[in-house]
Amino acid sequence: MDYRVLNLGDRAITFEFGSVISRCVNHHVLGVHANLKESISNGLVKGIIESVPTFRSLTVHFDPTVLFPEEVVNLVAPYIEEGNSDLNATTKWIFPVCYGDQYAPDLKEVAERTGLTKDEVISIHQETVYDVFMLGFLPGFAFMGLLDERLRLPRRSQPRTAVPKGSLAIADQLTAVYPSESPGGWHLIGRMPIDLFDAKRKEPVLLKAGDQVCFRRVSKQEFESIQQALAMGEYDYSSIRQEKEVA
Amino acid sequence: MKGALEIISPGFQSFIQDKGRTGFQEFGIPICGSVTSHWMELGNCLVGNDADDAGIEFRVVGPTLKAVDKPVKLAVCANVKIEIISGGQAQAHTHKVSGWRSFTLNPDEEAKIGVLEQTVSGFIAISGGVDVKPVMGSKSTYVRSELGGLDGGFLKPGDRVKLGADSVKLADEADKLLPSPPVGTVERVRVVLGPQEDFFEETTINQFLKNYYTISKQSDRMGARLEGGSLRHKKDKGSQIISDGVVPGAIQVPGNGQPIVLLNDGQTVGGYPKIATVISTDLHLIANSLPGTEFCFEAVSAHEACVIARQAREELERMKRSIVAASANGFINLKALYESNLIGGVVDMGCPDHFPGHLDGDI
Repeated sequence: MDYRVLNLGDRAITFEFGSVISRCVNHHVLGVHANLKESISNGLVKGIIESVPTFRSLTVHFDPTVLFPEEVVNLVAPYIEEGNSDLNATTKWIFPVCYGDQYAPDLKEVAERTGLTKDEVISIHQETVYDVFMLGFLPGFAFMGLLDERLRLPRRSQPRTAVPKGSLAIADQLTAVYPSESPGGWHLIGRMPIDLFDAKRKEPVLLKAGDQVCFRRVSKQEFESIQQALAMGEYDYSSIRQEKEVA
Repeated sequence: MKGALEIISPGFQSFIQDKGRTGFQEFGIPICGSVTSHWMELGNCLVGNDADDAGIEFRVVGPTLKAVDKPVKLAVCANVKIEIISGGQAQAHTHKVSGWRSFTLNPDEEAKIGVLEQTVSGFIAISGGVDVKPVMGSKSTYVRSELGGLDGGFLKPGDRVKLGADSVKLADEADKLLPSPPVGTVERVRVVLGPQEDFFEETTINQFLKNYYTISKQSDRMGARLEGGSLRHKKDKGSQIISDGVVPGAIQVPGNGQPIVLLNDGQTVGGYPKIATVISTDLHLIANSLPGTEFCFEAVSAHEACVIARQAREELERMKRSIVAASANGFINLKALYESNLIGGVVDMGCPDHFPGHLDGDI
């Protein structure tokens, strides 16, 4: 696969595999990342610290007192050649979402602008099994796609200064759940009771790039009972998580 | 029993930092860590710690710290006034110490660290390090996500920071000083162009390298906003990219053309074109300079930047080797001498390393 080598100062290099958001390009990025990560943890690539996959590129962080950029390029090249051989175990998540009015401040507007009913927006959003392309922006913030073409809208012209934690949001071809309160310009169409990021949890970050996610509609009552179980530390995460083998 | 440092006053902003959190950027977790990691290493060397042990980073105004139960050795890395207050409120006795040297703070003594004169941040190295639980391999505080440090936040009055196991043993050792502290005057900041220099015409890149930029007041540990000539993106490229990876030092140019240098708490990916990236050796110049500081950028190749990083590492090791026992510099505190006599019986003037207390100033 063709790629561009972009210097990111003296301690990272971005290997860029394409100029669009696509499953195919991202899959390649994640394959290279997985293999490189394994070698880093086995101490096979001294001087390389970590790699960060994004939609269409992999940023490789290194120690400039150990490696020169051209050495990093030579070290990473075989992993790119090797490609995505080992991406066969994927985690699938089924997240409960409540679409009640108080949790979905933009649902009505999204319906109006897309020419659909609110229920149609919800059911179209739930039909897709989303790929987690990458994480970033906030700890645990997962960029997921691709959104059904009927639901695609540009970001809000006036971003909110505070989007509530757990908000299910859409923008352009992507969907996401805000892991913590933050400013944000996406359209909010529901709310998830489970924190994608919790520093105090044994696994602070739930999603990783390459996971799959789908959404299940729950009532306000069920939403609140999940919240309660989480607060008591009695929530069973295995109920939303499936390990599946992909051919 | 282990000792502790009680926060009498936290100053403006004080928190626990070490060299930062790596290995979790793929989950959106920034590196954080001390913005003056070379100062952190020097400070740790002054108090006898490992190079990367966690200490307290403070911004603008230093904290007032009290030793609880056990003596502790401290070294403040910054040009700042430090007062040691002993004897309690009734019989308060004050004397001064300088930065860039270690001193022992005995139980119930307070170290009052003043206002920074030339920088935004300073680092307090603490013998034995701090006894907080590492989160994802680091004790660094990331306030925005309440991660690491002491309860994930700024230190507050009344907080007690527990000290590491070696704290007391190290507190008993000789005070040390760094004869020639690092000077951080900023005139030029070196960058490697890219990764998105192709979003800008050559004339714009030349302008970027010729302009004088000023660090704006709207700067924090996430990023430094720069004021100066606005940079225009190529019309056919625009001011947005598909988000890709960043590092501290990456210079994003958003739609308004005013560059933002990402710093230690900056996010792990970004959607604005990055015209250039500040080299690792020079990043502290931006992270630690006062708002209003004016400077120029200068382009070097990525290879050259690595050579510079190696030279800076050698220079840092040379500075560590230059650290000497404080008493060798000729400053002897009569009070310390007196106390040594009371406690130890005989003081060998030829062996000043055995003085407890502070070997500075108020004779």
